[in-house]
Formats: sequence, C-alpha cells, structure tokens
Amino acid sequence: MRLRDFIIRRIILAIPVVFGVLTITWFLSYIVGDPLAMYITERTPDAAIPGIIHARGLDQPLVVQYFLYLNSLFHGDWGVSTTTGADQPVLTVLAAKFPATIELSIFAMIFAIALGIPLGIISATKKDKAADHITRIFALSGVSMPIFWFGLMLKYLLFFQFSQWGLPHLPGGDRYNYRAYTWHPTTGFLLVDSLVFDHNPGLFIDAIFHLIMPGFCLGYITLAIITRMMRSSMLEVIKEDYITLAKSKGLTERVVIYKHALRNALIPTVTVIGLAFGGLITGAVLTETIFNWPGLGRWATNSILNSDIAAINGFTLLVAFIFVTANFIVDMVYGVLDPRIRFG
Amino acid sequence: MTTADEIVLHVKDLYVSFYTYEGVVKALDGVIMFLRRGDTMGLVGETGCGKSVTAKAILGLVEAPGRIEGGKVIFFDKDAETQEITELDLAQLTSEEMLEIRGNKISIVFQDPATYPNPVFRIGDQIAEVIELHQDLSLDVLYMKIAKLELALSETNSDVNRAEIESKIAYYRQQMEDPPEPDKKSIKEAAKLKAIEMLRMVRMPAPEQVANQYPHELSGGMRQRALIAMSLACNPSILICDEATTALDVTVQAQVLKLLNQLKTEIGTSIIVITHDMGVVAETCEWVNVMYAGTSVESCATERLFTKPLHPYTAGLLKAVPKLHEDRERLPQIRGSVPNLISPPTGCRFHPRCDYATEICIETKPILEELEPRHWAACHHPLWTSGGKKNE
Amino acid sequence: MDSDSQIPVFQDEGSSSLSSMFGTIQIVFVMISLLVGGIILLGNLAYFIEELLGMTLVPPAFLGNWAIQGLLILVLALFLLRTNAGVMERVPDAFSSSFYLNLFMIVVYLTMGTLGLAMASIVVIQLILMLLPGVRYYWWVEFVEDTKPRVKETRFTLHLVRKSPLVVVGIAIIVFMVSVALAAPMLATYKGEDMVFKDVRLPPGSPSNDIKLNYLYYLNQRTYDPTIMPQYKYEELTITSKYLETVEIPRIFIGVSDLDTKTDAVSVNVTFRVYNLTQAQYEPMTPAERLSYLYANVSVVDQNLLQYITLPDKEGVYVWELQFIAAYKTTTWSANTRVVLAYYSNYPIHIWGTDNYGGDIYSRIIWASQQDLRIALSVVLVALSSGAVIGAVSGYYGGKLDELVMRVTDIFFAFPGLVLAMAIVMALGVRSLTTISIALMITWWPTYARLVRGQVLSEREKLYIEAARSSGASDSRILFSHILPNTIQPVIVQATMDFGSVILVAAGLSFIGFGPPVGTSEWGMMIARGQNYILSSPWMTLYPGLAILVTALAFNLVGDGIRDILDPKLRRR
Repeated sequence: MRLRDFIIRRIILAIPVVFGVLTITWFLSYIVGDPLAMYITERTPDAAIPGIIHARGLDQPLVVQYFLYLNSLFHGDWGVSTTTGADQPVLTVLAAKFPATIELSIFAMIFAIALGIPLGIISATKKDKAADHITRIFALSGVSMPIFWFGLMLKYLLFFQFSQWGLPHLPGGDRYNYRAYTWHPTTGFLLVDSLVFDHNPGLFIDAIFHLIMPGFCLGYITLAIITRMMRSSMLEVIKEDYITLAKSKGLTERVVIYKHALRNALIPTVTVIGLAFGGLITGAVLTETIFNWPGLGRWATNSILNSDIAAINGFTLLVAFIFVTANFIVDMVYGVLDPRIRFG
Repeated sequence: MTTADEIVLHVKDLYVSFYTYEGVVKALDGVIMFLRRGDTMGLVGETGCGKSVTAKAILGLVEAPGRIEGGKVIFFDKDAETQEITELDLAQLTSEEMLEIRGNKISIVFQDPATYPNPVFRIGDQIAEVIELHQDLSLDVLYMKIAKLELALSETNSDVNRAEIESKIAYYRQQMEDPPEPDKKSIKEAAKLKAIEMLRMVRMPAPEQVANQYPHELSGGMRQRALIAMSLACNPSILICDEATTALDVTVQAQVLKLLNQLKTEIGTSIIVITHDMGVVAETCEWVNVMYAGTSVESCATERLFTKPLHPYTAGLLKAVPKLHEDRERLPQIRGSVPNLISPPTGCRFHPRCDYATEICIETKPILEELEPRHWAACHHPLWTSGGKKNE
Repeated sequence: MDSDSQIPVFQDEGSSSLSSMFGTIQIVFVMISLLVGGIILLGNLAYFIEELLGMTLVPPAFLGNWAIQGLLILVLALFLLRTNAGVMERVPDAFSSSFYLNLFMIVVYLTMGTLGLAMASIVVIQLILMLLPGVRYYWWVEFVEDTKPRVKETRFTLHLVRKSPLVVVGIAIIVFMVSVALAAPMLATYKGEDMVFKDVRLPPGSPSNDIKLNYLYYLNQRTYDPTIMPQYKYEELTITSKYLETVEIPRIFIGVSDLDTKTDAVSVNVTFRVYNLTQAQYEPMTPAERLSYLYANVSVVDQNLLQYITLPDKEGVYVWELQFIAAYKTTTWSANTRVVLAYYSNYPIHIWGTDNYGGDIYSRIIWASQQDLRIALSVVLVALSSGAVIGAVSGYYGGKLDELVMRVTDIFFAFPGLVLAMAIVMALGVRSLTTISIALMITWWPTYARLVRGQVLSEREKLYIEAARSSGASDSRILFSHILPNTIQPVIVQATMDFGSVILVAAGLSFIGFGPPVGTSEWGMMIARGQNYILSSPWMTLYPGLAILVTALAFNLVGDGIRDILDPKLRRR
C-alpha cells in the first residue's frame, strides 16, 4: 500500500534527526557541565556518588558512555531535574507540564489560523491598496515584535492599567484563579478537565480568560507567518492559468478566490503552519516566563538558568520529537490537499 | 454586410491598451471581425499580434494594466426556445452581467492543457461546476430520481416496496410539468451525471472513471478533451479555441480538430479558432480573419484566402507555409520583425515590412473594406488589383 | 544567437597581446589580494582562538576586527581570479564581472584603514589600466552591451521600489537607524554605561537631580621652561544658556597637581583670569591694558590647590587666561603639572526617563543601536556566506554529501533555536556580544543552506545550465557564475528579513540572562531590566521595545516588499 510505504519512509528519514538531537544533547551534557550532574543533585549523599558513577557507567570509555546514555533514555530514565524544587525524574516533570504548554500552543494556533488565513487572502486580493498595507504592517509587526516585550506591554495595559482605570481587565498570569476555583487535574488539560471531569463551567470560563492574553501573545508571530505565507502563495496562485479558466467559466470573483485559489494556496501555507507549531513550543519559553504559565517553557528557562542539564536535555528531546511529528503530520495533510503528491 | 440573423458575433473597432512601465502598449488597434452562426472562423496571425487579447476582450477578461479603450463587441443572443434574437454589447455589460455570458453563452478552450485545469479538483467536479452554475437542473434532477427509483424497482422483490416506489415515480412524473426547486445535494449529483455525459460526448474513454480522476492523472490529449467538455457543457453559442491544439502532439491534434468539427454539427456552436498554424485553418475553418500587430488586415472565406489573398501580409504568411510539391532550400520569410506596439508604425502598421509600401501607407491607416465580393482587406495596394505593384 | 556579430572586428595582434598582458597584471594583483585576505583572516582567527583559550577579552574582538573583510576579500579575489581568466579568453560577461568585482573590492578595502587604503589604490590602478585606450577599445563595446539589460532591469526595480510605500518607509527607517548608530556620540546625551545615581527611575522628560563636571580645559604633563616664565595660555570662552541654567552657581574650579611628586604641592603658581573681551580684542593688548577689562581673577598658590571662580552670569563671549609663574627661577628646573578647568552644569534632561540604575534610557537606546545592528550584520553575513556555500555545493553535487548536509540541517531545525543558542553561550563560557553573535551564527546557517540548496536544485535542471555544461564550462564555473547569481534573489529577501529576526533573538537571549555583561547597552537587556519595574516605570520597557519593533519592522517591510518586487511571477511591466 502506498500510504504505508510513505509512512515507513518518513519514519526512516526521521531516525537520523532524532539521533542527531540525542547526540547533541549528550554532547552538551559534556561541554556545558558534568554528565554526572544529570543524575545527582545537592541532596544526593556523597557516599552514594561513586555508586551512581559506576551504575551509570561514567567511568567507562566515552563510546560506551554514549550507548549507555541512549540505553537509559530508551528505558525512560531521563535523569533527575531539580528545577521544580524537589528532585523529580525528568519524564515525570515533562508529563506534568506538557498539557499546560500544549493547551496554550493549540489555543495560540487556533487564533493564528483563524485570523491569519483571512487576513492573507484580503491582503493578496487587495494588493497594493490600503487594506493590503494595513494588513502587512499588522502581520509584519508580529514577526518584528520581541515576544517578551509584547507580553509585558499587553500585561501592563490590559491587566494593570485597565484595573487602575476600573475597567474590566484580563488576568495577568497563571492558568486559572487559584483563590476562586479548585481544579482536580485528571488529564492535565484544564479546559477538558473543568468541563468533562469537574463539571465546573465557571472554571472553564475563567481558564479561557486566562488563555486570551498569553495565547494572543504567543500566536501573534505564527499569525504573522501564516498571513505572509498565505498572501504570497495567494498572489502566486491567482496568476496561474487555472484561475483564468475558472474566471472564463463565469464564476464570481468570490468563488474563484475562495474555492479555486484558496485550495491551492493553502498547500504551502499548511507546511508553514506545521513548522510554526514547533516554533510555538520554543516561543512558549519566553511567553510562559512572562505570564507565569506553569508549563514547559518556564521550566526550561529556569532549568537553563540553574544549569539543570537533565531538564534541558529532556526539553530539547521533547521539542525535537514534536517537530518531527509536526513535520510528519504536515506531509500527511499535504497529501490530502494536493492530489498530485498523494504519497507517490 | 450580412444580416443579424446570420451573424452571432460582431466585433467593431475594438481598441485595447496595456498601461505598462515602458509605455502604453496598443495591443488592439481597431479590430473588426464577425462570426456567422454555425461557422468556424480562424483568427490567424503571428505571436503577439493580439489574437489572445481579442479573445479575452470578447469574454471581458482583459486584466489590469489592460483596458478596453473603445469599440463594440456585439453578441446576437438567440434564445433556444423562442428563436428570438437579443443584441448585447459585451464591452458595455457590467461584470455581473458578463458572468451570465461567460462559460454559458461564450466559452473558451485555452492553449496549455497542462496548466489550465485546476490541479486539486476532480475533472468531473470541475465540469459539474459550470453546469451547476449556468443551467437549470430541476428537470435533470427529476429524471435522475426516476432513473434511480426504476433501478430499485427492478431489483426489489417485495410487493409493498414495489407499490411504494411506483407511487413515488408517479409523483415525480407529475412534477415534470412544473419542476420544483431541487435541493443542493441532488443538484450536485445531477450535475455530476451531466458532466459524465459531457465527457462521453467528447469521446473520452471510460468517462465515469475519468470524472473521478485528477488532472495530473490524465494525458495531455485527454486533459484537452476534458477542457473542451467543460467549455461545451452549457451548449454555448460561441466556442473560442485559443491555440487549443498547439501544445498537443500532431496525432492528438488531429483527433481534437476532428472532434471539434463533429461537435459543431452536433451542438450547433459557432467556433473561433485562434491559431498561427495555417494547416489548422485549412482543415477546420470556413472563414479566416488575419490579424497583424493589433489590426485586422484581411477577412474572407478560407478557400479564397489560400487561392487569392489580397493583403501582402497574408500573401507573405502563405508563402512561409511549407508545401509538399515544392522543393526548396529555404522557406521565404517576411523581412523585418513584428513591430513594437508601444510606438507602432504610423499609417498601415505593416508598411515597414511591406514590399508594396508607398507614401500613403506611411501617412494614413487603411480601412477594412470589401474590396472584392465577400472579401474584406485593409490595404492601400491590395494584390490582384491594379494598385498592387512591387517596389524594389 | 548573433553573438558573433557583436564581437568587434578589430581583433588584431596588438590589442589581444595587450589584453592578455593586462589580464596577467590583474591576476598578479588578485594574488596579492588573496594573500592579504588570507593573512588577515587567519591572523584574526588565531587572535580569536587565543582569546577564547586565554579568556582575556580585548575589545574589539573577532568581528570588530577585519576577519569579515578578510573573508570577503578572499572570496572576491577567488571570483576575480576566475573572471580574469575569463577575460583573457574573452568569455562574454567576464569584463563586466571583473569590473564590478573590482569596484566591490575597493569598497571592502576602504573599510579597513591604512592598509586597506593602500590596497584600494592598487585596485584603482588596475581599473585605470582597464580604462587605458588600447585595453578599453578592446572591451568597452561588449561591456556596454552586457550592462544595458542590467541597467534597464535595475531602473525598473527602482521604479517599483518607489511605487511601494512600505518599502520606501522601511528603507527610510533603516537609513535613519543606521545613521543614529553611526552618529551615536553626537546624539546621545549620556554615555552608554553612565549611571546617575541620584536619578533612579525618573519618568520621561524629567530633569536630572545631579550636577555634572564639564571639563573646559585639561592640561596634563606639560613641561614648563622656567626661563620664559610667566607663560600664558588663553582661549575664548563662550558663555551660553547651558552654563547659566545650572542648578548650582556656575563656577569654574581650578585644580593643580604636580605629576613628578604625585602630590598637590605644586611648584608653580597658577593664576586664572576671565576678561570681558573677545579673543580679537584680547590679543593686541598688553597685560596692563587687559586688566581694566578683568571680570574675575583667582590664583592657586603653593599648597592652595583648589579654587573656584564664579563665571559671568550673562551670555556672551569672554576670554579666560591661565598664567603660570614658577615659584623660583632656576635654569635647571622644570615643572610637570596638571591643570584642570571645569565648570558645573546640569546633566541633560532624561527625555525618555531613566532606569533603576539611573541610566538614561534615550542615550542607552542610541548606544545600543550600535551593538544590535553590529550583531545583526555579523550574524547575517557569516550565516549567509557559509550557509550559501554549503547549500550550493550540496545542492549542486547532490548524492551522499547532500543527504548528509540535509540531515544536519534537519537536526538544527528540530533543535529549539533559542535553547541551542543558550547552550552555545553556556558552552563558550563568556557572556558577551561576541558570544551571542557566534551562537546565533551557528544556529542560523542551516536556514541559508536549505534555501540556497532548494534554489540550486531547481536551477540546476534548467536548460541554460544544460547549455553551459554542453559548452564545456567547469562545475565550479557553472555553480558560481550561472547558478548562484540566479538564486540570489530569495537569499537577499531572507537576509533582509533576518536582520530583524537576529535583533529579536539576540534581544531574547539577553532578556533571559544570556546577554552581554551587566551595564552594556543592549535593547534586550534594557527590557530585562525594566520588567521588574513594569508597573511603576513602564517607560523602562516601552522605549527599548519600540526601538526593536521599529528596527525589525523596517527590515521586514523592506524584505517583504522586495520579495514582491523581485519575484519574477509578480513582476509586471
């Protein structure tokens, strides 16, 4: 079957990438610090250290150490992180923090797609008119704005100044109001838990309000990328011959643009969306720091500042994994959108 | 000239200019031509002489920076039932009114079958789209429903079902007199069936299968057939073939030409064949219109053009066609090259390349006149007349 | 098609031997350039490695020096070598390429000080040689013919640029920012590292609370010949509103110290006088006549080392005069003295407020523009040149090499860029702008490698490459003179937009704390400083962020605009 071959080929192509990232992280643990730091903390008793060194094979030759490192990774032993305050296995922390980041990223992505694609179309169809200029400045501001600064400014205006002026204001940080609501994490996705498990619509709405500002902040870059890609691919597509044909059929401008051109212009845009999803996780590093979001990004920043090698490696591997998966999904969607490719 | 009853399209003094960075390109400079009902007319000329622009101007598809500067494109629309003829100036219609004409009354087949079909839609859907857009499918929907029920009738065994189905068929038959507005889904279905019908009409092998295929899965010839099916889907009064066969192999080209001729008699469409290939003209057209640098230079029956051309340009063009019975080292060519349309030559646009040019050719622009019975040419010194004298 | 008709008929013995002689001379010059470029590049690399190992950071470091220029010269010289070989064989286009490359070479040399000036003049001599009547006669016709379409195309591009308002605005902003960075010493009211501790977190527009010493005259290590004592030193003093608007009484203070003994026990008496005269009136008078115009007068005698003098309280032109009189006259003694004249004045107004260390936001933003633009320039240039070469070679030769390069870039893409940059900064160990630049160069090259590779792949299949190959052109010739020029447009667009992105990422890095040392003016650091005071002093964050936004937006506007303009599919006449 073609689809199966395609998937297998994709996986084979992804293997060297994942291995490369693994190798670099291993390398980093050597360059940046002591590989032993991955497995011990200040709370480890001195007497236990020789035992750990022996058990981890850190007294072995480098090549052996490398394979031991890979081996432990595949067995789910990603080292110990100290950044959260207590000594926790990295995988546990990742699992605990992952839903918060994903929730934020998905929210940002929805926002970016819902606004970016229409803006791109408007910009392309009204090329060189006022609407195009305004849209482009709006979109390009997204890629020209330091995300942390934008977050701070949003927070200052929408949270602090609005509350000063006595206006309704958005919350300045956190996932939900700790004082007003209680949350019993089940899946870790607050929006899902509050509705499905806690049956707490108040918490759900509160969580949505908490998502707006960080989501907008994080999604703005992606919005900009999508708008620009949409615009340029649309501009290219409306010059194509099949658009002339569609016009010669007597279709209205609307149908020509939104049916014939859009479907073709979406193909390159989807690639960009997929790649941008990986970028969102990286962008979360800065956004979460500003909005006090208890997700992976803030944890990664703290662990870098604490030189918490195990945590950095864990984060990196996860991002690489998400990137590879996103690429894979993009390729699948590509096949759906573009019949010429169809896993051939 | 001929009466309105006979003529379906009359282009009168059409001017189109393109406003570019380097200057105003006067692409069409008073083009005159007419198309008789049921005729095939060839529009011949070198590359860049304005053939495609004429076609686009007729369809109202001239895009910025191009602009129709003047002239009339009169379309005599004959109602299929009442046989009444309404006169429309396509150059004056609003863009909404043009939507009704395009693809419905006048449709076009483009040159390159590789790039013209939309790559992401199925062939059948692309044809069905035109049908859905322009045709009233309420009757077809009823026929389709009845056909479906009849199929079910032949398969069912239970009497209860049989009676139920028969009553439904009777109900639909009743509606035939005044068909109700069908729902969207059944319109889509009927249109798709009609699209398959159209594919069958253009002699597409296995039309049901092709309808569900994407353009890239078809060969060039098949794609061109599909495009022709798309253009003919609404029984247009005029079909414009813009170099429709140029990109095809010679054998496929012959097939497509033959198909066009057959379809013309089947549907009764008038066809404009735009080409630079004299062979195609000779094979398919009854009437020929020769264009040079945005002007009409000659217009007559095909046979007459090949035997007795009046305009020196036409004569030169015909000399450049290789002939089997002649044995020559090198084909004769018209000296010089196509003029720059930003600053075209004064007077007759052909005069710098013409062997017969005199003062008057440089000063005044010749008008397209009926110099001989049913033979129009725009020339101060037409051949075969007293004026034609070669100056060396 | 009819290229043979374009070759002039005067292909006689004399001119061809002249041209080959000229070609030889040029090749020799190019060899010199190669040598110079190589030495500069290697020297700088060695210097840089030494720095890294010794961990002694002496500014200006790696990029502040000539390493980039060295690299550029090397590349240019290599190209010139090829084109000059082409000139000797009369390859079409070779003359014009050689001409342009030489011009570019001059530009590069002119950025390099004295050595550069010398080298540039050699290149100018080459160009003059090219213009000698005999040689010129040989190549000029072809050159004009070659350049005509290019000039036409450039004109059309400029026309399109003029017609797109966003690009014009973007270019205007970029020019403005670059000139601000260049003119920073003139525009900035404070030094980048200045901290006025009395002015902590003042809102925009506040005057300073502190007063500042302005040095009017500073005399150091001057040896007096006692035989010609008394000695005068005078200068015109223009009292402007700046002197009068001070918080304290406008005074000048005079301090004298002996540099030989390093004590304040001076062996000269210094008298300071201010006359109500202009210099033109002062000069012809005798000391006695001047005395009637004396405005104020103060002496520093022996141990009495510090004196104040009240300055005129009206605007106008005065003359100050210093008179040195040795305490005792001998023929063997000389004094080595430091004299300082200074007046108090206000610090300039803080138009955009101050930060929590009393740094002036406005001045710091201006000084930071130098740093940030320099980072952007160096990162983009290095990433572009290395990425382009890697991408071009891998795309052109394909096969295993290509596969390897693509997997490596995949890994870089899969790695979160910010994390990688942070890790590199950590691994390099030194927190400085140079470190950030290096980290960003390492993370950035794969973008260009990918871009150029894709372009080369699509270009490689085109017919004109086939034609060049069948006419016997070598691989490197096809790659560098046929394929690369045709892939340059998307690279230019990407590079322009990356200027903005690099500024953003560099700011992000220093925001999280991986930036240059505390105190350095850098936009990201300024925002980081401000974030803790966002509620009470939002200006600390607002203005540096706006500076980043405006600069990056300008680069993006231009990049986005020229993509539209250069795109052959959208380019319409």
